[in-house]
Amino acid sequence: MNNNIFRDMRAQMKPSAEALSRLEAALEAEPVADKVPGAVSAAAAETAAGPPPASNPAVAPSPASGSGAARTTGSSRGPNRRSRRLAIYLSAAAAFALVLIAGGSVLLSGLPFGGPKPLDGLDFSDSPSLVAQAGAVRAPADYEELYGILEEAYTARGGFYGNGVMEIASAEDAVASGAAVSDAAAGQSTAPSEDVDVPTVTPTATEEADTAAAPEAVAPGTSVAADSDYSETNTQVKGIDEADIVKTDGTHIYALTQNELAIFKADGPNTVEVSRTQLASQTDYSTGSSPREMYLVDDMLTVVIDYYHYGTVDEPYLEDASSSSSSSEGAAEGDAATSQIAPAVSEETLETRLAFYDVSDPTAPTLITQFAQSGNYRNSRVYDGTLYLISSYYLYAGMDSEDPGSFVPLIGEGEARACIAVEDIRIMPEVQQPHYTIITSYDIVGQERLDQKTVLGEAGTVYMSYDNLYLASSIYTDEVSNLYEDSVYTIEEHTTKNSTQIIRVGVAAGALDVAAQCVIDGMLLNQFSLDEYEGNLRIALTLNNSGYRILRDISHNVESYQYDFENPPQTNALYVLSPSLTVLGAIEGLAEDERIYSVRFTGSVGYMVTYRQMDPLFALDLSDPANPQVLSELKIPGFSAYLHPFGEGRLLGLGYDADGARTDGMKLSMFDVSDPFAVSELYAESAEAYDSEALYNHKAVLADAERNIIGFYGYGDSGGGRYYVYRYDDAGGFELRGALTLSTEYGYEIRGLFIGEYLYVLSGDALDVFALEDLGTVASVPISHPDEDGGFGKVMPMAVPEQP
Amino acid sequence: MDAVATRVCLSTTEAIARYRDMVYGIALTHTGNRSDAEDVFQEVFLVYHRKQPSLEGDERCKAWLITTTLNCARQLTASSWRRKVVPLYESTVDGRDEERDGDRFAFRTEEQDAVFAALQQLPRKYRSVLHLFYFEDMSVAQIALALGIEAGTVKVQLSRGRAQMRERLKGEYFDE
Repeated sequence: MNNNIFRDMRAQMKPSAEALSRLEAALEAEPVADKVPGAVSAAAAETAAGPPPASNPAVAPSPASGSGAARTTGSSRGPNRRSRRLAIYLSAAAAFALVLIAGGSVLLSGLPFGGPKPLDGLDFSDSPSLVAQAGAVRAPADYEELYGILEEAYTARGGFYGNGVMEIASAEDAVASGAAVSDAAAGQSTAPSEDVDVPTVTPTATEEADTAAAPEAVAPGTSVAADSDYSETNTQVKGIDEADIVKTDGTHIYALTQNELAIFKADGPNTVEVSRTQLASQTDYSTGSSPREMYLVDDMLTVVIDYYHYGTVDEPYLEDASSSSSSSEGAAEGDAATSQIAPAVSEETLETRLAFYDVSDPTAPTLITQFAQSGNYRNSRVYDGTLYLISSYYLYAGMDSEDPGSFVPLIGEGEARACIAVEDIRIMPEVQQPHYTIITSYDIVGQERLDQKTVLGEAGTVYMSYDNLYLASSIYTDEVSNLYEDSVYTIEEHTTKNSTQIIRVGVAAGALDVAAQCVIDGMLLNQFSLDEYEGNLRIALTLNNSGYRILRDISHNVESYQYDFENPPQTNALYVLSPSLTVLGAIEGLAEDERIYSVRFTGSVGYMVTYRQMDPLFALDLSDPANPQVLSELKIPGFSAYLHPFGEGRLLGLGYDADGARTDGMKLSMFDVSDPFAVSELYAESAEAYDSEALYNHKAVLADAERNIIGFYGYGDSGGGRYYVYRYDDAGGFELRGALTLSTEYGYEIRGLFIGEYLYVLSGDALDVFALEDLGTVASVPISHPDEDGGFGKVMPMAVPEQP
Repeated sequence: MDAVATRVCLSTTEAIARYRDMVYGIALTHTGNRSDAEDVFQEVFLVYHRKQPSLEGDERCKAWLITTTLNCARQLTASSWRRKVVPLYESTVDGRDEERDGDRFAFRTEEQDAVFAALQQLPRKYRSVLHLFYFEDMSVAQIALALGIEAGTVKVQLSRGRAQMRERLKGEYFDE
């Protein structure tokens, strides 16, 4: 399916105004709930007390799209390119509106009234501007101080339930981890087997020098191992590995398949599965784990595993619902398992675990040890034998000032857990959020933890250079900028803004140093928006400060929203930041009214694709950090969602073709970037596929210039998914070598890799092997799943009853 | 635990503000028409208001709302079937029955209507998973947590639901 369709559809599925007022009336008619006195009216009072939406950044409304923008973009039919973000804005904007409505007539007391202003034209004189602020990062003196900070953050938080914006903006993150959702589930963490009330972790942090021997800067994007003939996970930075569901060492292929590790001997037509290892399990509905991604370093396979345990389960809603309803037979059929899980819990543990398996004998992987840290898995990297693991930990279960275990993340090996030492915790100067990002480093070969640091903040997007780990998160603000009366209306003007917090963590052979942070206007696309070069960080941002106003006629109890812009005013910028994250240089005002769709940096040059109707590819000269410049701008139809250096002077773009209204499919572009002053599109090839994971997850891309292979799995118009293999040369352009049919007809998380003369494509159901020479199928090794049809082996009849 | 007031359970107002589109969307996917979806929508938040479930964490609130919406929708459609009411709109798509046609949820494009109709015809469990995955942008892991089923099961249901969707849409919009 084309995800754009779903996003566009999602934006339309909203309750009508009548439905809302009906609900509102019904709620008013309700007696005030006992458990939480006056939930509704209390909220109204809160609302009245101040400009509440401003303190609710995580909800991320962009009301400009509330009824105008999204509809407008959608009305032209065809895939809604902008809808990924707009859809989020839309629902959030609606949410925001309702809070205000509930606030009702008391809303305006206590707010300052400004003078009347003409209705047209909000004041955006402070439109996109550079507001990077660097600030000192420090450790709290003790747990007590930390507790106070958390308490304050909780109190101040209108709704800091995760910084959803960035995760959603980055589809990769949204699908793979989704902080706003899954991480928010983290609650009070308790040790699985013992209560830890005294912090016992010995910090191993040392004040490292900021001088890790950085290798020569290398052009990223080559996915071939230096000394062997097989492909590796497509990563952003050469030499810095990123976790994935498939890894190979050239002789064996390791695959995470459901809850198991399957190992194959890769031998062309004679490829066989040599072992299967259960990695995770679900003991009951409230406890379970599932493997996420893995690394392979020498003979050590490290698997990142999500573990969760919910303490007690509340009475399911189903019980009293069916007793009070006449339609209990409906409840009896189907979905029984689902309905039993009323997800009310009083205690829970969410951990990210790191399991080390010795795979020197691939037929018998052996678990060596397992580490754990609080929170949901966020991201990881491996560089030079050291693994960096990042998790997000939210405090939801309440805090007890006497018990650090209730508000400090836990860390441990095996079954032991201990609180992170106070000297390993860092507080950010500006943004106080009641949740943690936990970073740990491990020596893979020695299977030991080297260091750990915890910051109060979020890591929506992670980028790692050879010397630093950068954590970026999005901050949304909505402020009442003006309030006045005009005729019968009370008018409230709001301005909204997205900004990004960046935290730099120095990594020197595993030692972690939380070195600097800043907050800068604008929002990131994904990890490729960040790049370090000669010690400075380059960052590409889309700025979309916006605004709207609410017209309220109290006497008639009506209010309406007015958006000044069909589309929020957008512009794009590139900043060069120093190691202390102060701004050295900037290019601002790029591509007005468009936004960034892909970014790639190679050395002193950066490429940026923005899009609205046409696809401008900008080439940026970043050799002088204080004076970055636009070298050239190329406008072509469609846009590239992923850019990949493909040999000398060539840049491969994978994206969408903008021609055609409804089913414009994928497009491959080859750019000539040998002269950055005159970038050109050498060839463009429309692909049969209309959608592919490759467009939002670079790990799904197989691209190797030396072997001249471009591979990705896509969904084609002729039915079913195919693995598409292209080659490219300057004389003839792209050539589709094959649209390979896999053993799985409709797959997801499909990975292709090559070893020697064979292409291996792993889907959930099989490992299919093709000869690279002619792409003929030489083998297909099925992967059976014992529990394929249900969580606990039971298949419930779920068919929708036939219509009469 | 003499702790900070960390009752993170959202107030009804807050829950509605944050999740009304989600609840309505799920209700729509599982009832197929506007008025049933609005009934479910209203019911879910009324129950939330009455129960004020002691859910710790926004995520728990969300999961509670998801499962409650699914339950309400199932009960409603089950009773609708007993009453021989035809809630699914494919029978009304030709507009013969104006009342029903007015009740059906119309998307902007025919293609979207077709996709929605295909989704409607999926077995309920596939529909739930597909809805959460595509419309709520939830990951496999998040869906597994919310529905209380294994991640592997979610993946399988996603894959099969998707396959059935394509099967149903074949020849209509994706096969031309």
